[in-house]
Amino acid sequence: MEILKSLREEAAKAWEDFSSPDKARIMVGAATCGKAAGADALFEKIDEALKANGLEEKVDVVSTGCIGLCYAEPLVEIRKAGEPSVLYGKVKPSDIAGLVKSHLVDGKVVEKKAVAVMADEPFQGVIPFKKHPMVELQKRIVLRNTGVIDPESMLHYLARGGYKGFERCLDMTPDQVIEEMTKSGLRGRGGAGFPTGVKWSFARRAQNDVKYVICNADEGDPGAFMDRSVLEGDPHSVIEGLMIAGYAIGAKCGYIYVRSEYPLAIKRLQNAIKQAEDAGLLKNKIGDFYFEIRIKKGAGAFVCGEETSLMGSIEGVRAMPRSKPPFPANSGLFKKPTNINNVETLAAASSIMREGADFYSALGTEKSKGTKTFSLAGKIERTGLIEVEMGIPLGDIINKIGGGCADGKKFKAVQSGGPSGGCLTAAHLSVPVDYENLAAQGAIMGSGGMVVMNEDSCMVEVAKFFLTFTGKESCGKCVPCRMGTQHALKILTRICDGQGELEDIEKLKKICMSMKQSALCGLGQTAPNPILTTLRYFEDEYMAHIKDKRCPALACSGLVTFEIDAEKCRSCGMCSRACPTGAAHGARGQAYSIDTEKCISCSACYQACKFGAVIRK
Amino acid sequence: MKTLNLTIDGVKVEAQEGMTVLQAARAAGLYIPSLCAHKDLSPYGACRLCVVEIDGLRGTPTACTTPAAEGMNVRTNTPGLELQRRHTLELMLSGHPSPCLTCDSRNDCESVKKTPAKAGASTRCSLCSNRPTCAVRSVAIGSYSRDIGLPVTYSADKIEKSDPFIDRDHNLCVLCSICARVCEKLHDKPAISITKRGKDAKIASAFGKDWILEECTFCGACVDECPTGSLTDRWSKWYGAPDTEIESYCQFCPKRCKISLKIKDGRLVSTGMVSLDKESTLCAIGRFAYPQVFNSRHRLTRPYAKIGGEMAPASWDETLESAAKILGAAGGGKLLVISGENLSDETRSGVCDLIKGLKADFVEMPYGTTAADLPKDVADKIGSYDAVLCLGNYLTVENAKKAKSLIAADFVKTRAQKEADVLIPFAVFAETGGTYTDKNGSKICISAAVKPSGMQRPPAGILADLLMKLNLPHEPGFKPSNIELKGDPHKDKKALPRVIYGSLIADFVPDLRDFGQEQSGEYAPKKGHLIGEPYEILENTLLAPNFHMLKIKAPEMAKYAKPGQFAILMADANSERSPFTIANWDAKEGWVKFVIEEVGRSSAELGAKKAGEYLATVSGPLGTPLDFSQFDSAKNILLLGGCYGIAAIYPLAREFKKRGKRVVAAIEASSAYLLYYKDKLREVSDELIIKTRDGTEGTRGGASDVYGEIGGDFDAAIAIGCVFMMKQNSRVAKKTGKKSLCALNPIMVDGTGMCGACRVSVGGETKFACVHGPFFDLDKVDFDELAKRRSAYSVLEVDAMPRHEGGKCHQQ
Repeated sequence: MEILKSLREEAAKAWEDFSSPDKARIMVGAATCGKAAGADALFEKIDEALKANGLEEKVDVVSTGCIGLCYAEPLVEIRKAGEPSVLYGKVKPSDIAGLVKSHLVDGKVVEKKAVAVMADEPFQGVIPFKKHPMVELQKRIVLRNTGVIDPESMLHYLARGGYKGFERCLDMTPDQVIEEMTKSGLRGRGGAGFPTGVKWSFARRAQNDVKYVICNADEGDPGAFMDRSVLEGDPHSVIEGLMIAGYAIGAKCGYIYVRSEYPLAIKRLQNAIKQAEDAGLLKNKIGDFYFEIRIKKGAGAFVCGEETSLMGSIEGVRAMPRSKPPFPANSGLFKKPTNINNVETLAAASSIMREGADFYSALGTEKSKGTKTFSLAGKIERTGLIEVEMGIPLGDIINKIGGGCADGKKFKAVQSGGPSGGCLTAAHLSVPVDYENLAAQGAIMGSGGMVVMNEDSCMVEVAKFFLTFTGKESCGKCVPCRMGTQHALKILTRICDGQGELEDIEKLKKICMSMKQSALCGLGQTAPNPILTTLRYFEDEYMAHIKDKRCPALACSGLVTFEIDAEKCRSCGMCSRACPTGAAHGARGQAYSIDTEKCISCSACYQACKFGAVIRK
Repeated sequence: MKTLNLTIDGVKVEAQEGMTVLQAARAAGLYIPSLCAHKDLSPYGACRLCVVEIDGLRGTPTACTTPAAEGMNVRTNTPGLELQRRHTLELMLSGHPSPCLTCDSRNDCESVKKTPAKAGASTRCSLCSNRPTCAVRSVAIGSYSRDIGLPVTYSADKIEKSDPFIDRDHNLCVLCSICARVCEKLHDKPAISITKRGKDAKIASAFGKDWILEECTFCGACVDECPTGSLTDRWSKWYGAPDTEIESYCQFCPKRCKISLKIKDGRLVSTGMVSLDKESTLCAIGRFAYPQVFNSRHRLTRPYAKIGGEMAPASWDETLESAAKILGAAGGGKLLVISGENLSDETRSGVCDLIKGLKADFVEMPYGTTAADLPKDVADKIGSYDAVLCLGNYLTVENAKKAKSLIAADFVKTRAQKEADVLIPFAVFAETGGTYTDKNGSKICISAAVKPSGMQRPPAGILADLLMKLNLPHEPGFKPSNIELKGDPHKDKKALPRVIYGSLIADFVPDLRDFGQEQSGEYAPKKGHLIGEPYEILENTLLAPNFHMLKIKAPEMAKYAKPGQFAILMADANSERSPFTIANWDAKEGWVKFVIEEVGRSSAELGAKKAGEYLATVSGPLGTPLDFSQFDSAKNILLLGGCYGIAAIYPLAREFKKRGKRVVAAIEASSAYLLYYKDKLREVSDELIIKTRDGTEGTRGGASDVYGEIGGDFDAAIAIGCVFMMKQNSRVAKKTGKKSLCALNPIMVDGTGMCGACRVSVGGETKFACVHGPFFDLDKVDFDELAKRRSAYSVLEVDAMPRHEGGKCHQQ
């Protein structure tokens, strides 16, 4: 494309400059995850250390997106001129001086902190990034740029093949683009898994002068952060995907609906849109094609992730789902034909158009093609953002990529698909991760959140947690969701408190069934899933709470009692100091004890004791 | 338009393109339950009751949102769908005070309680003003069962009474959103919206603004369309569903909007829009103030004339004769006629004929003016006329005094009328008709819709009679009124009509002060006078919604009270006297306790009293104490209590226990949230049996089931509760053949056997409940007669309901 010609030349140079091993460089992962782990505090220390060593002129300091190894944040990549880049993890500000001195001055990798080397071969005993256990099994298409490029540089994106997919579109008719998308087998990554090409064809067929495409970036599942990472680390891939969708259906305007809780993602998007406009890709006629993108900041209601609510929110009315039909493809935003896709879908679309449908459909299973990103969270050794080929066994994700449960605890379950999803157990570790197989087990792929639970997690409490969430986020419009979540939560709370009755199980099942059958939108229809799957796989835990008034995981405060093992107690008084009610008490030289009358089972003493003397029962 | 062919439940149905499945079914006369669908509003899909199965469609789509399509095969009542609906309904009603809907005795109960009790909180259908027209009831009755077994909650949210006209009871709301949707349809800037999420979601003003200050124009469409009792017209809610609706025109201002007059038993009880569209909206005066002004207790309902120098009620003939005499004597410039501008053509024509015929001076008061606006030069000259005829409230007392002879005609009583020699009552608004011609010459004709409440007659007819009596001819040349309105009352509350026939509307609708309308002070309330010392309230505890426990300082009564006795309470000096059972007392500490159930104005006044405040009267102990010696041979006593009776059986149980009897107390309530005194009764009984009508606590059913359940294991029984409860018990008790009593509290005035208001028929004999009772043989009382006597004042009880200032002001 003419307008990108000179930019591409510039981009190639910029990327060469950036990635060339000739120049020393320090790169800090400063996406939200990195910032949360303290990345911002590192920059000052890096400046100081470079100055101290007289390197300030010789070393570039840049920030990048999330490379996915969240467990090791903050991540710092250090490259000595002429050497491969080494990725350091869990870097504290106090580590910086030593790292700079050792790595850049003395030329010695600090092995204790080194995570991987960004090269194909080991370096000074550090394994290549691609061989890192969290990375080895991944197939990064959507995430290919995050953590690798400077997300604020359009040139980096262009240099890595950016906007080639869109350029390819311009040589095709919209119908051919849709055909290509259908051929790729890409399905909606927001969770429902509807074939993207087919969806586009509906909006394409709708007759109207005005059509819209929307990018749904209202990522709201607790423990899910795939979309945020993509937006923060590779915003242009989403913009390109939205342009391709706009081209395919015949829309001139695209919206990106992104929650206000993602300020960095919004900033990166604004920057990227401005760059694309300046480059003449947006707000400019390219042949017959004109496209512009607007950002709509959401206020963070979970139900806004539901497409019709989201459209209401853009329109400025209270976000409540509308009944379908009419479907958005015929009457969506402002009653115009509208196509809505999730962030990951659009990012994948740009790769598909760049590399071709066959490249994508060669990956994955028969019905679930390509790759899927997941965010690993909860009680897992290696939390982070991953992208794997569809069909990979669940166990590979949990154990090989995720490194199994944290602190050597036993794996119990994984919640797949957030509050709309369900849990899978150790018995499901061989299940291939794709749409059909997860659904068959009562869980869903969802948008890709995976929250791992270990032996310390009470599954009734897990269900209660998710129902608390959906109960609060229910918009209140339809009866089954509004009332069902309330009643289910009350019953779950009762069970956790040891007040449950046997008939509660039957009641829960009936409430869940009513919500599944009768609720208006996906939120309500899927809200019972955490209950239904925990009931399906962990009914014994429910029964223990109800019949024996016992929480097998010792997690429900109302059902756990605390005692002090006199033999183990060293009389240090830590328990007593941590106890908010004065229940844990004792005197020097004697074993402490807990007054059960005063104890509120908050577990503070248990956590405070360093000798394992506090026993939960 | 294309015709579509569908099959619904095997029936071939034709529908027009664009119809939903629900509309197609309804058009064909097929019933699919639904609550949130509304014929004038677009599909919404919130209640989820209209789920159906359609071949080729996944799951169970809602009929209200699914467009009808050619060849569709729809099933609406498979067992699966019915179960699904039942569960949805149960979820919905678990948050709605719904025990009456599952009660097996509902029909019996409602045949005794023909109108809902005017309680403070609508804790069930029989205390809900919406009972006669409730959509939730009609959907639920027959199909609601508590299959899941969900608890039923009554959240007891305070009824919002923050504006002059609308009671907003969020406890009854099912969030169908019809109010918000109607508001959106009718107004460019809708005032209603759903706020918050999940269980906190509720209907509120958009952005939580103050109803009075913000967009709401009080068109009342939300109230009229609300399918539940959540939104009600505070003034008219208790009158019940209108039996007649007549389309007419509002006569308050020259805009003369089309209006629907809602009439019940010949009385105008409410007004509303003629259809649900933008053009038909009403202003706050048309929708809410109209019936209040019309039914004002300040209405002038009969003519008066001076007879023997004294003003006295007179017949129309006498009155008109007197008027004609005065008018006839004041011909030739000696008569001053004052009238308003906003009158029908016929009235204006009559006034015109009179002026011309008698060559009178005439002052026409412009639209919106009052007596205070009478021009000074006119006021100064009043004394120079032989007579003044004033149609409307245009004379201050001072000016009226100047008149040598005054004929006052008005629709309400005013102070200035004391100076009149003849007093003529006008029929107005719906009582009268007339023609109105606007400046373009187009006419509207209004006919009378209801009979006047008293002897009022239309002004045009009165004038015609006077003209005839004076032998005056009809003169051509009158001009129809041509009034320019400032502002649009439909959009701006400041532009609402303020004056009607010279009187300030706020004088009859005091809460219009919230809109900045002033009152004249014409009808300032009179304070009642207390006789003797008031009684201090030591404690007022809400035991359950509508049930207040009042602990009152009354040392003398506490000294003499005996189990079973009652006292007569009065909240204020001019309150009604009502009897209440003495629930507990302490002679040493000098207090007595009553449990007051709010069922109308008087009990609401009592319930509203706070600790530290005073009651005007607590007179008692009254009634014959229970004669415990009659139970000497009985070992096992069964005490049955419902509603207020739960508290009433407490002192009996305590005394029986003291006398060494085995006491079984059985209490009933509609639902768990209406039970109280459980622990107290456990203390004084050997066994407490709890019955709820919806089965949410204890076992399902009523107290009368207990006779059978305990297998006749009792020697005597006493049942105290509402008339229906005692009637139900009497039927069962009769069969047991055991000694059974009840305690009655009919309407009473003095409580000492003087007035006779409390007469009851017991075994064919007339007894006075106050002195012969309150205890009578349960099986001998004529409960049907008792129920009838108790409801004798039901309409007056509605009229007496405090409805202004959010229902707080009892004096207006």
